[in-house]
Amino acid sequence: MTTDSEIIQRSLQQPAAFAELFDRHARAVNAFATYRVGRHAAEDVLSETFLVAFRRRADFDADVESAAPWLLGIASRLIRRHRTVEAKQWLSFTASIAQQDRSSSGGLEDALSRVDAEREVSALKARIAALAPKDRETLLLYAWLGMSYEEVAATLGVPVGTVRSRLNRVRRRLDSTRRIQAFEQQQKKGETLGRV
Amino acid sequence: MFEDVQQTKPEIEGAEENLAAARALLLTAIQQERKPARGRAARRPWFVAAGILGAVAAVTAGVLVVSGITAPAPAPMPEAIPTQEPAPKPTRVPSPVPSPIPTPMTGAEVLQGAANAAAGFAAPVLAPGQYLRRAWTTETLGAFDAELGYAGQAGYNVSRAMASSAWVIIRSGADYSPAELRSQWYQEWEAPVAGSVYGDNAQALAQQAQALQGFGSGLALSPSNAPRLPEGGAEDVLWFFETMPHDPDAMIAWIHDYLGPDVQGWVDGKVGWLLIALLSHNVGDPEMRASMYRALSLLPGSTVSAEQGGKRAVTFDSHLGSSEDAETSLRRFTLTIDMATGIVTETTDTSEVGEGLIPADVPNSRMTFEMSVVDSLP
Repeated sequence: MTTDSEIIQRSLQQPAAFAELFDRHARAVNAFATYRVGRHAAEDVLSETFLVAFRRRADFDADVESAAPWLLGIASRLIRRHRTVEAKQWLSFTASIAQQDRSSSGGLEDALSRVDAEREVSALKARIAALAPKDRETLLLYAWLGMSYEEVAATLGVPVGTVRSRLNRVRRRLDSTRRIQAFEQQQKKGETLGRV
Repeated sequence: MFEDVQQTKPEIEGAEENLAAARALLLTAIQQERKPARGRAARRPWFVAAGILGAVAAVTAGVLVVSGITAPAPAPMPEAIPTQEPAPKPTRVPSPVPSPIPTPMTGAEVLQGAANAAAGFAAPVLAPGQYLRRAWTTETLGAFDAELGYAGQAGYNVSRAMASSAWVIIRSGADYSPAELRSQWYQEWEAPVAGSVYGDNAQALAQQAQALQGFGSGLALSPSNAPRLPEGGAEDVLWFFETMPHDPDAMIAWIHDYLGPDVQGWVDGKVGWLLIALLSHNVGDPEMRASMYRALSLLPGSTVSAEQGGKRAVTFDSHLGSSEDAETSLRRFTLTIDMATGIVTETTDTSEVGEGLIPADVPNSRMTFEMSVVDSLP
């Protein structure tokens, strides 16, 4: 199979070849942008990402096979210009659980367990939305887009160790059991916090 | 834990439409490229934001004219082609975030004091033929993102935190407002001059030179309309003075309604910025100006610096987004007030405070104002 690098090198002489790169990665870039800034702003980010990439394809490191981190890195920089939109998007993400299907098929126990599950997902969503932007972006690339540590690092232009430390921090923040334990410990010490 | 996170992944709606639109744009770009790609510097288009320049007239509403104002409006964004290869990317070292020096007074108390000063200020009543002159100077920060090949106004066209170089362009001018605010205004401004540069010096200087061209030359004294807010909009600033309710709580509610819903933190930040932008025109009915200061005093996030020469600087920090940490999204507005008159002498706007290579105390824009009465137009 032709690598992304080979496609890009070919497109230097045959620009139309670049469309193949779009077909390979546009869906992932669109998903990444949609998660962060919503559908409508994502359209702009997606378009601009590939226009920038096309314009700058001569700069692509030919030794790197996959263009996914490069493309997502461009998208990430473009998304920074949509910060307010992104913040709105995370608010709507937190609220989206309320709009999900609440059909009452099944018995009472099913309904109760579904409510519990919804509550857990809702709480997790709220914690994801409350993450620091850099941590949340790292988590999104790793957990939602399925990238490896190395690919996340290449996308964000940070060392792999930074990705690891961010994901460790995210794990601590999202783990409700740990948070409850920490809360209880602090209460025992008399350091009451506002919430878990 | 991360398996649970995967379950929260939302469905992607509208993907096919987005893909089709983006693909069409890419194909157009591909077709437009007639020659094979060569070196990037020779073909990279980049955009120079002309940024803030002093168009704008001032507005004076009401019987007592306080001042005229200059609401700089962004100029068109000409396209230019750079000719030199960009220099190596400099290392980004986040600059320390300066904090206002705390004083015993709170921001709210200072703003209440400014409200009292504005209400009690006996502004000059213009005689026939006289104009209120507002001399202004703007310092606009431009930035270049070498990774994207974009240049533009920091915080708007280009992320300040991502900038590889930045530069300041300074422009001065004046507005002349008549006694009857709906009468003819006049404005003039000088050619822009280069200010400081940051980051990659060679890159910044080259872009600064391009941006200076985008700002255009000076403007001889010319008739003008009432000014609008820096962000533009259909209404001039007089409309706000004429339309907003006087009660501070009602005024905030009115502005919320006017601006529409937004994210936590930014809702109040936007209200604050609109009020600061209006107040900085230094015009309007004194009671209305006092109400605007009182409305500002009700907003959260204000701190105040020590008094210097009868002036106080009030700082509003807004943490954009829902993050409790908000480590990368601090937006800062300041206004400096003459506490004897309630006249605004300076405003600043800084996004992504402390991030990237641009020093945190260099704002995206700084505007300074000086008021006087002239017996005739120059």
